[in-house]
Amino acid sequence: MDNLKNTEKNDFPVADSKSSTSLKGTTQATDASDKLPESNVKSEIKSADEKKESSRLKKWKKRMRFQPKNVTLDPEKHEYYKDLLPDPKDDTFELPRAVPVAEYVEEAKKEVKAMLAAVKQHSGSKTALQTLPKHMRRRAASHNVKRLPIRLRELASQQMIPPSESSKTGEKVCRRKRRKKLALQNEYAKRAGNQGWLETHLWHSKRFHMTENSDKHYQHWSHRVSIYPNDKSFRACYRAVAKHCLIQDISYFHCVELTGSQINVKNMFKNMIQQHEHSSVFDDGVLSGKIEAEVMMCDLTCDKVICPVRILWQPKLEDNQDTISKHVVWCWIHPAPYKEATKVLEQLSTTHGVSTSDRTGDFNRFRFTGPKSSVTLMSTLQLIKVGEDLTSQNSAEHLSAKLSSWINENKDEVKKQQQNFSHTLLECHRCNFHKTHKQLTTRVCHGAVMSVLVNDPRLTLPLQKTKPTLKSTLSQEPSLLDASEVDDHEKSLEELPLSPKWKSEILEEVALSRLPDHVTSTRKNEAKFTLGEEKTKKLDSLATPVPVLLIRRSGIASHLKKPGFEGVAGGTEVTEGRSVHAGPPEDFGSGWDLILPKKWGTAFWIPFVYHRARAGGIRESEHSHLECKTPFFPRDFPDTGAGRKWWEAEMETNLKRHYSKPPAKRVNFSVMATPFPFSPDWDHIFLPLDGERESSLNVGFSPPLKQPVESKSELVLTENQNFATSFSTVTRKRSATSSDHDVIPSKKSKDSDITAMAVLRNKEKVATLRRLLSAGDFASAISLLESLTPPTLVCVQISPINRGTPSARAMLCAPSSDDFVELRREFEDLNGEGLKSCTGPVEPKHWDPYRKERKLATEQAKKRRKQKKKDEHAPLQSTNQKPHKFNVLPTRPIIGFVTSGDFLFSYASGGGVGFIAVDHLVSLLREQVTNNWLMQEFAKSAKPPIALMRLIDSTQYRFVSLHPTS
Amino acid sequence: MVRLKHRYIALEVVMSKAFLKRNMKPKVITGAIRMHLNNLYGELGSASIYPNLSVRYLNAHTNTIILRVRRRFAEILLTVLPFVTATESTEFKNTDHKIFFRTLYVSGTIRSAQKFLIRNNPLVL
Repeated sequence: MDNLKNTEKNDFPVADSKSSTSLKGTTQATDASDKLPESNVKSEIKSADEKKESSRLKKWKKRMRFQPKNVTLDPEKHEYYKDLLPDPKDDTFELPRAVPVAEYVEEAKKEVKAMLAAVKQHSGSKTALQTLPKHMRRRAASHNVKRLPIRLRELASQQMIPPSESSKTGEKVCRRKRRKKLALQNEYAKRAGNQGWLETHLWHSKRFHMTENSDKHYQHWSHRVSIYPNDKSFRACYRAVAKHCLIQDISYFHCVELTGSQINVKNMFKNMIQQHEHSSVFDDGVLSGKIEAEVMMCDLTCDKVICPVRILWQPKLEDNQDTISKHVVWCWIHPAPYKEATKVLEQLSTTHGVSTSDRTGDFNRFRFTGPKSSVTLMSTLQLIKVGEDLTSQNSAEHLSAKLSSWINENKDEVKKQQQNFSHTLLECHRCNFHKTHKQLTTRVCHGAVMSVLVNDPRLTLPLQKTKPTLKSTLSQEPSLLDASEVDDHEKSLEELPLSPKWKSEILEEVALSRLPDHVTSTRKNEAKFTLGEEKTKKLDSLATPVPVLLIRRSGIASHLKKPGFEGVAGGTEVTEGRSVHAGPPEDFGSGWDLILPKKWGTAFWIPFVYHRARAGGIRESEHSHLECKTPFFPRDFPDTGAGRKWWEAEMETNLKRHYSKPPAKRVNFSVMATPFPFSPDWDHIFLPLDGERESSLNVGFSPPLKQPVESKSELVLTENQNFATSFSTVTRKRSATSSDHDVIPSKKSKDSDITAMAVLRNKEKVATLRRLLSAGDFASAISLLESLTPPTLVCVQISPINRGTPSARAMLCAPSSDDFVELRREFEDLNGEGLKSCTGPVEPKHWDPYRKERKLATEQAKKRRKQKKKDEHAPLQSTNQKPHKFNVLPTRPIIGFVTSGDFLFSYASGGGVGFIAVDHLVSLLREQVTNNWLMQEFAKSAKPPIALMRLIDSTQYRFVSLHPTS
Repeated sequence: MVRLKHRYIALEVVMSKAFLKRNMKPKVITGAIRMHLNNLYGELGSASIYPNLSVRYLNAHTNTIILRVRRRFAEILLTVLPFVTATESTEFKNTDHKIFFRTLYVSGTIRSAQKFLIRNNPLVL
């Protein structure tokens, strides 16, 4: 065999050099075939061909690697033949006298060897078994060589040897090792560092769509946040909010700590919060730390809104408010405008002598929404037993010393707090579910803060997911019931939410005191088999006190539904026998916020999930705001920097989606007369309704082509102009009185846009406006609107009068007087169905001004493609322009935009939130006041002001009634 | 895919001169065959065989060659081979060298041709 192997390599050992015809085996694979490219193809062939050739050669070589090579004589080594030649010109010479038999035999032997090797060589990638014909293959032969025919055994045994050890070293560690918990944790820690993971990230990322860092919407959030669950749960999440309990991890909110004397902090707030909200910030309850205030934060000049902020003061026992003693305030800020907000805070803090520090990573904040959130909290958060001395227990080495000493110092306080906790939660639960309690007026107010010490909830983690009920919770913890009965209700609310949480050194220790999951679970399992006192002892050894803060949130739209304003939303009266589809109840979206120390996130999250709290993401909070038709930050705050960024990102994604389609599959927004299909253009609605609007819309393409005179749309356009002038006369009248912000120059910097775009956010004013409108007092409503000088936009709830579902970017348009005539005709038609048969007007088809140009462009592109072959250096012309706006105005002038809208379950119809220019709202009202039928007959079914709404890709207008909101 | 079937022909080359033996290369052999192919079967014959004709193995010492042709045209080639008498004149300074082939064996695979050579070599000796 060894010899054979030698021949495989085609190294024919040279025969003895003694002989006259000493030979040498040469390897000339390239000469082996006539088909093969040979040396004559060399420099002339281009590189591409060379590649081809070389690949062919490679293949050839591969195929021929086991075949015996040609054996030729080396002519240069045998020059002596030439000497023998009698005449160099004549190629004849004498025949050798003897036949070199020995040489021949030698060579023949070599040839036989080579041939044997070639015959024996098993070719290609086949295994030994595969070389056998099918009928001779046996399954057992794959692991037992002896099942194979003898001739294949050697080959098979060679192939069965596993790859050598050296190749193994580079391989990955086996999966089992990789999946070990420590390795996983290390890897997650490595990955979490640069991505901004929340503590519950892993839980969420397995079950949720997460925000991408590349997504412009969430680029500046610095955390990866869950958007919506992967499973089909849109409706289930709504049901959780409406009837059960939804849990969201909102730890991505930034927490900024302000420290300074109370006066300084107060002064600081005065500079960053608008006048009308001062009362809510400087309320006694807020200053003492009993209530968390939610206000809009503004920039230094107090006219540009930045974002909503939640402000929580540290409670102080001593009542020395005017002294220089340090007060700590937490400001919870949305991540999108965080940079902007911190800039303002830093500027203000330096002037007011307040120090700021970012404490974002120090807390987890979970949000519970829904009527059952109280009972879920009650059953999950087990109170720590304060009676016994915690430190005395032997096995409690993991406990933080400082915290336990704090508890020992404030034993009475802690007990009171615990009673207060159970009492308040019970009260909240009964308010929702017990008839006798429903009528109670004293409810836990919005933002009420409770501090409580709870036990590690993992110890009471149920084996299966269980729905918490009040009965089961009370039966487990009879002390709860005692507390609720004994405690005086009035007294409990006055309890100060003192908490060790405010001391950062305690907080650090609490974070460290968290036992690892495996310790709690194994010891819990051990305790399972013990009984009675033993069991409680064992579990008590694991008990870890965790200070938490609970903050009450009343319903999302509760501020709009204070007594006196009821019955506004939804159009139907709120009475005892409330319709299911009359909009969300007052406490829709109410619940609790739970603030936990860091590292305890998952320890609390999973028990909550096991107590049947449904987990939601950003989409859920967005949608529950939409159910109440209240604006959601940052989407429905177009006047803020974060809102502007949001809509820029929206514009980008929408553009991308639109222009990724082939031209024939795109909606032609010119024909639809949708000038702003990608994101609302707020500048446009401030323009007066005459010619300036058209000239402002000079988009993308160079000069618009002339329309054919005979075309139908000419008529449309003239109609439009007539209408526009008639409508604008109304506006003109108004602009004569206050013309400051009627005409806004179209070229401005972006910042000035936002200041011009001030939105009416004064809650009192909005409330009075709502009241006036619902009462039908339009004259005073108009005067109120006209008195608003700075705000130029009003946030409105949009409720379609019969059909139509608003969606984001839809246009709000002013109806013409003809539209109302038609509406009346349809409404009063005896053959029709009244309100149901009222369809809105339809936008006629428009003439696309760029149609010709586009066609020309495509033709040119075709030509260019042909030309390109001829000369490649022809300059490329930019033909595929992608305009952001379209230069065709609809017949009904645009007066506002919808920023979010969808089908709403609580109304069983569409609904949304939008913004309308104040001037246009006033002119709408003025027009409609004069319409007697509208005010008297039609107002029973839909309250004015009534406007038209049109989706971006539809020509159908829908009548919608608008209600101001904030 | 249709498999291309071949015939492998083992030949013994008999040459008049040692000079030719020195210069025995695949090209010389195929050139000689082609010339005679052209004479006997004309354009069609040479066009059908020559592009597919290849010398799979050549040994100048033992004067053995293995040729490969498409099976369809193997018969044509086999009829031509006895008539090959000289190399192409252009190959060596416009002089013909006498050469002829002894067909030893025809097979369907190169493997059996090789096996034949293994069998044949001792026989010759």
